Amino acid sequence: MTGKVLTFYLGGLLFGLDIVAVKEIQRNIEYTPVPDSPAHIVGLFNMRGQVVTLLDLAYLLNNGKEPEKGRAVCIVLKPRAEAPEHIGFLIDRTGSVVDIQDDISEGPPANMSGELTRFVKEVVKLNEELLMVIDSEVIFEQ
Amino acid sequence: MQNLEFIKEFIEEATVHVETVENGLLLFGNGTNEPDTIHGIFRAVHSIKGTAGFFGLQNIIKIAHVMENLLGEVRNSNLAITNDTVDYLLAANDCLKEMIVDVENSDDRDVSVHIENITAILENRKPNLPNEPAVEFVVTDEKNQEVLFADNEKTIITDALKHGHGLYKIRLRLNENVKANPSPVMFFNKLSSIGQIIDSYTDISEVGGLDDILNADINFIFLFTTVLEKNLITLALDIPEEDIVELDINTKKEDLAQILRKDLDFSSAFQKFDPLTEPRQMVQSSTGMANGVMDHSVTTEEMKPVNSSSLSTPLTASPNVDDAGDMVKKAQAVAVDDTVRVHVSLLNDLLNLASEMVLGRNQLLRCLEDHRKEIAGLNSVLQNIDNITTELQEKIMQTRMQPVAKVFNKFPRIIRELSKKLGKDIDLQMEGTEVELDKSIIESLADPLTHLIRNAADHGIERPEVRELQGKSKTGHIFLKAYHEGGRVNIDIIDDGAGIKVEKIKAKALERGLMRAAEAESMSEREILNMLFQPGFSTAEQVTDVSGRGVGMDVVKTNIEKLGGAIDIMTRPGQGTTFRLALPLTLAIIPSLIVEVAGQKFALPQVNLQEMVRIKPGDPNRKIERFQGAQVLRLRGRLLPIIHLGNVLGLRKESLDTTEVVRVLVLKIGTKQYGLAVDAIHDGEEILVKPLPRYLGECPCYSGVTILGDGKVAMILNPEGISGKANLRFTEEQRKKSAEEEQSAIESMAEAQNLLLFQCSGTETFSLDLSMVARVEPIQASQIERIGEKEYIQFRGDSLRVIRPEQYLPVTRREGQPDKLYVIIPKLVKYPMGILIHRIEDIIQTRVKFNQENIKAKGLVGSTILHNRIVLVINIYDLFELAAPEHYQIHERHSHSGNRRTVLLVEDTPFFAKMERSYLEWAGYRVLYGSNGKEAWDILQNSSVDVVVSDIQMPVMDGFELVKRIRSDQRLAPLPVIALTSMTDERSRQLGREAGFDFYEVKLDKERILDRLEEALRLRREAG
Repeated sequence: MTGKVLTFYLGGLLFGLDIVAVKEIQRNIEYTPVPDSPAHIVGLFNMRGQVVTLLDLAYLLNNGKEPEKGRAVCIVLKPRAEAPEHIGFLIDRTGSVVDIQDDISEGPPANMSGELTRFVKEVVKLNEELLMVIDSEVIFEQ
Repeated sequence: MQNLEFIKEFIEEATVHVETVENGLLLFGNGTNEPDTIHGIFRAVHSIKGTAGFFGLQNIIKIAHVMENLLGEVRNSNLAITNDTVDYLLAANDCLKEMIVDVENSDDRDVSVHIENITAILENRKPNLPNEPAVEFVVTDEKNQEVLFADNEKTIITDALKHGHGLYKIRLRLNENVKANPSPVMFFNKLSSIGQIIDSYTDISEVGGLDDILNADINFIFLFTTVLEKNLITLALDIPEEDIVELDINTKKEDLAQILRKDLDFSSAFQKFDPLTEPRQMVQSSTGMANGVMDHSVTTEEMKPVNSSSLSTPLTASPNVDDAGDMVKKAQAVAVDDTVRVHVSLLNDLLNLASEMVLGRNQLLRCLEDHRKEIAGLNSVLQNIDNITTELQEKIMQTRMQPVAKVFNKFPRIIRELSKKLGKDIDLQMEGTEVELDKSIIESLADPLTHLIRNAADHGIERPEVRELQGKSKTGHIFLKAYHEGGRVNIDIIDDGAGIKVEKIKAKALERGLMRAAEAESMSEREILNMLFQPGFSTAEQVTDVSGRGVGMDVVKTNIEKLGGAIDIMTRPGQGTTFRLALPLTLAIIPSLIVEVAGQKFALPQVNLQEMVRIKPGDPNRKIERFQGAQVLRLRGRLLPIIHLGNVLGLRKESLDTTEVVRVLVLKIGTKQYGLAVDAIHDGEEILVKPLPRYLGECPCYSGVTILGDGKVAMILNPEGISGKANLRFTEEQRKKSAEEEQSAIESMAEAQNLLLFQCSGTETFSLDLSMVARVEPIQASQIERIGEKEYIQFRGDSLRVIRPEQYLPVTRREGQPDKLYVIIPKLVKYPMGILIHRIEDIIQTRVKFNQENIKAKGLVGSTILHNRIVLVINIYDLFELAAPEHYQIHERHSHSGNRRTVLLVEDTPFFAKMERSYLEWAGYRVLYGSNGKEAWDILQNSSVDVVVSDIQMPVMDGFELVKRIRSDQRLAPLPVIALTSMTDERSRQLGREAGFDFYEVKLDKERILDRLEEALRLRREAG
């Protein structure tokens, strides 16, 4: 793809998300866990009167590593027209916004683990590290 | 896609119009004959026809056209409107309505019946009415060809000419001109706001169907009159000048305008122009006047939504404004529609944001509280924000509110049809149509209300001949009334029909096997009436096609309860029945209790909450027992399954720890009952219910989410789902049993009292009924001030005398007092004084059994044994009298006022019974005593009684029921009955008066009661 990607760290890995899909980043949120809900649900929080469902992206990616404890930072996605409810997911910390071009990105490598390939749309070859760009559509399908 | 949207808009718009037509026609049916009404109907039909033209909806155009013709005749007084005419028009309007809903297939319908009917009326015009007015003008187009008009159209033209309007032909090219306007409907509205459309036509022969209408280059032609000049029309409508053709009228309109300005008498002015017959003139002059009025109040007219087709006259611009600049301004102002269609989801979002803003405001105020004085001007800014935020929230709440008129408006039609079908004469009156309810409630109210209205007409109102026999007016009345009461909206459906015969319901219920004969005997009237809401119950002697099909009342009840409302029946044989719906103002906000488990807060809807039980470890009366892995609580003689919310939700593994205090919420879903243990119980809170986010999937334990006052999200618990999740299995037998036991529980509850146990300086334990305690305030000994012999404290900015019971009662007294004391502030007393006590011991619920009367003293009701100790029950009235005799001296006159007359005292609580009895006997009455309505009724059958003093809430038969029975018994009807109750709210008072109580008094003002007794007896004597 070509465009701007918001990068963030989750479980020590660098991920990215097409900036068009991002509504905002919320820091220091106080969320309410929902007992007896699916395992990938972290909880709910109040964003200016809107209830945002927080997903556990690390769990979904089968990342294994627990998200870093401490301040809860989350990315809230832009709601889609057919589903006006907001969803977001916890991250460890935000990175930056990077411009990417087609020539530095390609599809996920063949030996990437199964769960990850579901979510990772592309892998961007940055100078220092590899950036996995997540497909926000797949998150909505959860 | 765009086409569909335009058509959707047309449907919305036309739906409003057909409603206007229907309401207007019904007004005519009632004999109202306002020119405004007919104008409104005419305009609505005209608009439908006009917009339908855009889409080539032939059938709609046809029907609207004949309707318009007929209405035009009526408008010009050429045709008197009869009931038949109204019926035909209503039928045609219905057909229009159906076609509008199903626009796509509208042209497949057969509409010839309606067209024939209406044409027939048109052709059978009464001959004595003047024929077509001879309008003497000829209109020619640019090619000098004469343009022919229908008669009603000529009227519009003459009207318009009189006001100095020009006549134009406007061509609208859909593909070009409409682009400048949002849609054809909008264009049509714009057009009708600056002038009047006489006719519109289009050549649609090339159009294949709905889909390609807007793609084909079609020209719509409007014949249009307006005060505006050609160049101004171009500006106002945003269409090229070459599409507007001014038609030449051979009357000199300048002359006309001259005449009009000189002479304010419109009819005489009109005669000069066009000598017309008498009735015609009247209409003309009245429209002229109406327009004249509008000229002066044009701003208020502009405020009205242009497309609402309210019953206003067509908006024509004024003849005496001739400054062109002004006219443009005006035309634009008029063209602006002041209503906007907004999606409900947007309103919901606004509501959310407003609540959020309130939270933000609260935080802001808290943060800046300390700096208010330091920063100049901050105070006023904060106040301003505070007020604006509150107002903002209120306004936004209002946006979801709609008047009940939205539902009520269809009932005149229903009643009209029902009265015809049933051969009854029924008059429907409505009140409070402006009362507003939340949109969602309004929407779900239509079906239940319709059902009740139909029932009232079918079962309630008798046939005219029956009514006459009973000395009632031949016309039956149904009264539909909406009003606010205590934060809720009540809707009463009142009929003056036959009333509901309790015996008949009883018989029917027995026959259907809904209850047993033994049960029927002990049931109160209210309970029997409630049988009506059982599924499969109908008492109509004949099943008609209107109602009485044995379905419905149960559905009505369920629907109303789903809305968080309640339904109540009141009936008097021979006089009529009232159904009362009590509805919450808004669905979205419900009262809830905030509970906590594992540090997390949850909201529990209070609807399901029966009671809260706190179980102390080691309490022999209430303990949680365990058997077969289940935990149960013995609650009033039955086993209540106990589950812990934490276990159900997986927040804790260990089972209930009975060595600590356990808090149990007793929940009830239908007949199922269980106890839900929680870690902590917080306050009640009114919460805004939001749906569960879709992403949570199936979570049966929750019914929604909400945002609490602290800004955090909390889950709303679903008691039904929790019981399912916890695998609680309620057997059929259990349910039945629990229903029976519930009855006995209610009975024992009714007799039980809540007692406050406390101690003064001595060792004795005293008790006071909680219903007499307003509050208990902790105070410091230093707060007590002495003035002379008496002691006072400051309470709510006033001085309050406090007394020490031990000073007046024969009990031990010790000197010295602790630093911390308590003051009991009593209620229901005339001269309040605080009771100073040293220690609060407990609050217990118990059934007081008074001991043998060996401890007797003024100021005490008696003694009882609680927790193996003697407890003295204080008579607060006697105590106050001892402490402040000056207030109670006057009532000496009451002694012997009773004069050996017999009072029947009905009171279920022994404590009150004892006190009331003592007053009555003191005053010299002979007292008979019944512990509930049924006992009292039996006594009344066998003994002679002068007056009845009755409590209202009692087991077996309550006070309402008792007084109703007394009033409907021939022998007993004149007996004075006084209600004596602790229900002080206005609704209870009103219910009491309606039920037939002579007086409604609050427990326990001795003097007032005796006054009332005397008054009641005197009134009866005078009447007798």
